Order: sequence, then structure tokens, then C-alpha cells
Amino acid sequence: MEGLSLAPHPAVRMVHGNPVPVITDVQQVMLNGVRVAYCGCEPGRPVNFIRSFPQAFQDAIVKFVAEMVGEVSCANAPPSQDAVRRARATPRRSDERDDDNED
Amino acid sequence: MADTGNGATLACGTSGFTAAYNEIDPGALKRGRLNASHLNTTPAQGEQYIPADLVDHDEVAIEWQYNPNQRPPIDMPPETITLTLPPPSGFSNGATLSGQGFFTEFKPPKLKNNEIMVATGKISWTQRPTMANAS
Repeated sequence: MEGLSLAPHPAVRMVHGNPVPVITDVQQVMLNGVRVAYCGCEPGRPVNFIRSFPQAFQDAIVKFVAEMVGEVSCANAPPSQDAVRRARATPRRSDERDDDNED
Repeated sequence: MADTGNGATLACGTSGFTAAYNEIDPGALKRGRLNASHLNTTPAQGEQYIPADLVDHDEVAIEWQYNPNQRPPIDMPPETITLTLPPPSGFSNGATLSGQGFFTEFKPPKLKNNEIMVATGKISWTQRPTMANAS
């Protein structure tokens, strides 16, 4: 996917007028300059999306990070609104009735 | 510029814990004060104070819609935790508050009829976190 890049974590402290990185084990995944996720700086770390994206997009990001950094331990994202709605719409066991036992 | 917290996220850099957060309370920054009054302090001056040397940052309090398959790292060592605020109008990337942190509390939800399961937790920074501006 074009436009993908890695950028240092935005947390810096000014030391004698020079920005010094504070976070050195987590970096940003950027798409055309827009932050879409955080990932580790070494293999075996997760990818954390900052919002819910389509699965195909998430897969592409994970693949990009795996190519640039190494193995991705897991990918996490906030649940989509659809997933939350589906979970709430699922009938509960107490809603099911055994009609054979009715008189 | 008025804005809401909709879109804020909290990411754990090693455990990968994330959730559908209902609320993220970053906590207050507090700096103590030392009473510097002396016998020659006048009534007109009143009590006098100087700031304490160090700023203390409260724990981050979080509340989320509980997913039993996503267990917070209550027993893991400190990791990089990044709280990302929603980007304000005209900015692509939200401000961040980040640092090394660890969970100090995890309270599973009450189980009740007609009530969404909500869990709560607290995160402590190992030292004062860093704020980065929106960009």
C-alpha cells in the first residue's frame, strides 16, 4: 500500500533546546502523514490501531509492519460499531423457550 | 476551541491491551507547596508558599466494555502506554500523553440483567509522562 511509513513516537523532551525522544520502543505507523497505529521497534511486539479500520486495511498494515520491523505478536483495535451492535442484538439464552414443555 | 473526547484511545505497547473505552481519565498533575512564612511575614502578605520540587501525576482511570477474552496486563512489567487524544479541527494527528506505565488495578464487571458489563482499571506512570502536541 502506498503512502505507508514509520515515524518515531511523538513524545519528545526539550533538552538544551534540542528535542530528545522519550519513547524509543514504540513508533507510529503513518498513512500519508496521518497516524493510523502504533507498533514496536523490534520483532515480537503488537500493532495497536487507534480506531477501528476494515479488516483488509488492518491486514495490510500488519503486513507492512512485519516487513519493516519483524514478527507482529498481535494486532488490536477498538471494536467496530457494527460488532458492538451485533453483540447487543444477539438473543440471550433466557429468551429461548422450550415449547415442548409448555402445557 | 470546544471538542469532545470521542475518538480517544489508549494503547499498551508490549501487551497490546486495548478495549472499547467508555471513559479515560488521565488524572491530575499535582505539585505540592511549602509554607515559607516566617516571623517577619506581615499580615498583609498572609501565608507565603514556594513550589515543591517535584510534580506528581495521578493514576489514569479507565472504564471499558468488558470482553473476557481481553485481559488487562495487571501482572505485567511496565510498558510504553500512549493515550491519544482525538485530533482537533485542522489537525491530522491528535495530541498524545505517553510514558512507561503499569496497571495497578483491574476490577471485573458486575453481572446484572439488562446491564452492559463494564470493567474498570487504573494505570500508574513510572515517572511523569510526556505530552506531545497535535500535528
